Amino acid sequence: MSAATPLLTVRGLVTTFPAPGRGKRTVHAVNGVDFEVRRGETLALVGESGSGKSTTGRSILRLVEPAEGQVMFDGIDLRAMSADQLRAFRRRAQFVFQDPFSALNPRLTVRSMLDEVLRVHGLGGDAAGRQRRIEDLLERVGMDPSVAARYPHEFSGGQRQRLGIARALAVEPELLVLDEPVSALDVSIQAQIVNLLTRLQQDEGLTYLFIAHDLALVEHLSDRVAVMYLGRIVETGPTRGIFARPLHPYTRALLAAVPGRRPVDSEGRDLERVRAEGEIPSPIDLPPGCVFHSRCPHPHRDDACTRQLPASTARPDGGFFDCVKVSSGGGMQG
Amino acid sequence: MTRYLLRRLLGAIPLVLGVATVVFFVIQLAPGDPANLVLSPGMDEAVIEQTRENLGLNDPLPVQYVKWLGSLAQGDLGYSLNQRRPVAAVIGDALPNTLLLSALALGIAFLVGIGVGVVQAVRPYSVPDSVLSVVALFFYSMPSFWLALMLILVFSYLARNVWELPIWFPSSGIRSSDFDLMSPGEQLVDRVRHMVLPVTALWLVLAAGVARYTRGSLLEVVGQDYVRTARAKGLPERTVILKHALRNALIPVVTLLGLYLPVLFSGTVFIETIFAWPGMGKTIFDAIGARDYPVVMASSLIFAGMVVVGNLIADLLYALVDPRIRYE
Ligand SMILES: Nc1ncnc2c1ncn2[C@@H]1O[C@H](COP(=O)(O)OP(=O)(O)OP(=O)(O)O)[C@@H](O)[C@H]1O
Ligand SMILES: [Mg+2]
Repeated sequence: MSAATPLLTVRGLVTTFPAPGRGKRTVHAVNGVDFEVRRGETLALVGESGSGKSTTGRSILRLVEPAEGQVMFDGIDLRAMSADQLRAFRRRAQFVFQDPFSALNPRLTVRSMLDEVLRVHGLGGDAAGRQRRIEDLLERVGMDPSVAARYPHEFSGGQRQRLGIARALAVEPELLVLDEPVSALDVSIQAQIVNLLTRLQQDEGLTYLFIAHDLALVEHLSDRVAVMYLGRIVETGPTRGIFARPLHPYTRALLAAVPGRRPVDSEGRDLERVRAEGEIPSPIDLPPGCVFHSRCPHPHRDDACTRQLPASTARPDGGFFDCVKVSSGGGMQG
Repeated sequence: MTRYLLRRLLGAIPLVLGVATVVFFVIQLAPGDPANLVLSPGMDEAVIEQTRENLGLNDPLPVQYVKWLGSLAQGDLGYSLNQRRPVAAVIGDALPNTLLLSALALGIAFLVGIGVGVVQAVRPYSVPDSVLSVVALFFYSMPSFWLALMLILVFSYLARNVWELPIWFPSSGIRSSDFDLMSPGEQLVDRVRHMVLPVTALWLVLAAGVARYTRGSLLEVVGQDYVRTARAKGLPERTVILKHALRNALIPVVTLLGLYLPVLFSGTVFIETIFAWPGMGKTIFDAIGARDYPVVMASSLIFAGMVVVGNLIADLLYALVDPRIRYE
């Protein structure tokens, strides 16, 4: 594979859950998502709670089974994999969970947790070799190797997140899906974990799919951004471009909600704050048309928005956005 | 750890004594005169009076109580008025039978209950899950004595006399009358056949509770990220469920052990009486009927002691399965 081919390509990904309660209704948690992640870069997946970010991340690694779509990892179709192939694939891509308190099995010591991964994948050789590898892993995430005999409850949130990262790194993966890895932590600890992740990426050439809703963090750490709303990606592009010139009304509303940011329009003129009112609608009975139309603050919103899904429009910087009311230059369309 | 054990056991003494004290005074409220037991009917009033005097029944209650405490402190449980032998001998015969019955019932209840709970939780809201839920609820809401009678009706009476099946189970006692004439192999089979119905009447009710609890606990644990973590590690699904999920789900299930012991022991009172099983339950039941005070007192003490020890074992198991718990 050439370096230009993305490490991960996702096309038309759909993941549904049966809706709670009686009847045959479904939750469309992810509803037709396309994106790619290139080798060595960080793609941030942002959006408010319930937009389907975690489900997207889990579907990619088949921690939940997608209903439709294609997930290509380094040219391999993940959805066509058998259970055995999938287990072998787990060496190449790993997941770091948001809640460091629920992500570690309370009955396993750090050593047995790490040793289990190494044994399953036949890594590290004999017991002594695995022991050395465990010590090395702990050092790489900035922990003392002597903690190996302890249980998860003996650690703080930040330490647990380091252990979760060590566990993910144990198989020497190429891709890490980081599901809000710092949002459960204190701000001071967040910085430490972010620095650790940045260092690991530089040293080891890791590729990150970074799920987040802290936009300041995303701006600092990601190369590209994909903005998700109600199971769809509504805008994507290079981080700098998206933050400088958000085009989709939802992206603009998101950015305007960041404290300390001065909302500007695409020409850099000051803008009154755009706000998306109300709650994200239920993904059970999806309205037709643009997913955002029920909350869109765009002044020219009309029937066109509710009739059909907007097609993607190219951004000048190579990204895309899905809105029929905005032109790629940033102006309004009637 | 040793200190913790000692503290718990010492702490249990007042509790057990308290139970015995309450039993001592409550039983005096019941009508009936133990002296009548010792003597044949129609005895001379003077003889009865003399017997009461000899048994110490004429002393004021507090005096009787202190005397009883005094002999208990010396390890003397007293003398059974009804069976005319030391209470220690009565208990010595009955206790092993009850322990056998309870241990079997408890063991089977947890094995079956956990198994059923896992089957249900692996595919929640499926047809097998719903069917098992209904069955479990049925047994959960059954009083064990009613269940015992139904078991006797079906597996003892109907199976043997009406349907004339080759397999049926005896409804009373712990062995057949011709037990001594049997070969060792036949003796074993005979003992087991006598155990089937009483043990079943006890474990079915308990297993239903264990299954409901295991299902709920496992469903909760399966939603935890560390179970997803286990899958993400690339472990086979069996390992994920049995090693990572179930072991954590069983932590709260262990506490059921402590809760179920009193249920189990009070269950044995009915079950042993119905099945004429010569254990502690039947002993205390008969002794209450006969106003055999020394046996009632000693049996209550033993039951209270068993509950205390059982709870202690449950707490120790809890610490064993959950690394977050340490006793000092
Ligand atoms: N296992 C599940 N069963 C049913 N519905 C689910 C399940 N997992 C997620 N959902 C639903 O799918 C939608 C998307 O959830 P998801 O967790 O992917 O969102 P998210 O963007 O990660 O949100 P957050 O920021 O809160 O983590 C939500 O409406 C959620 O209720
Ligand atoms: Mg999430």
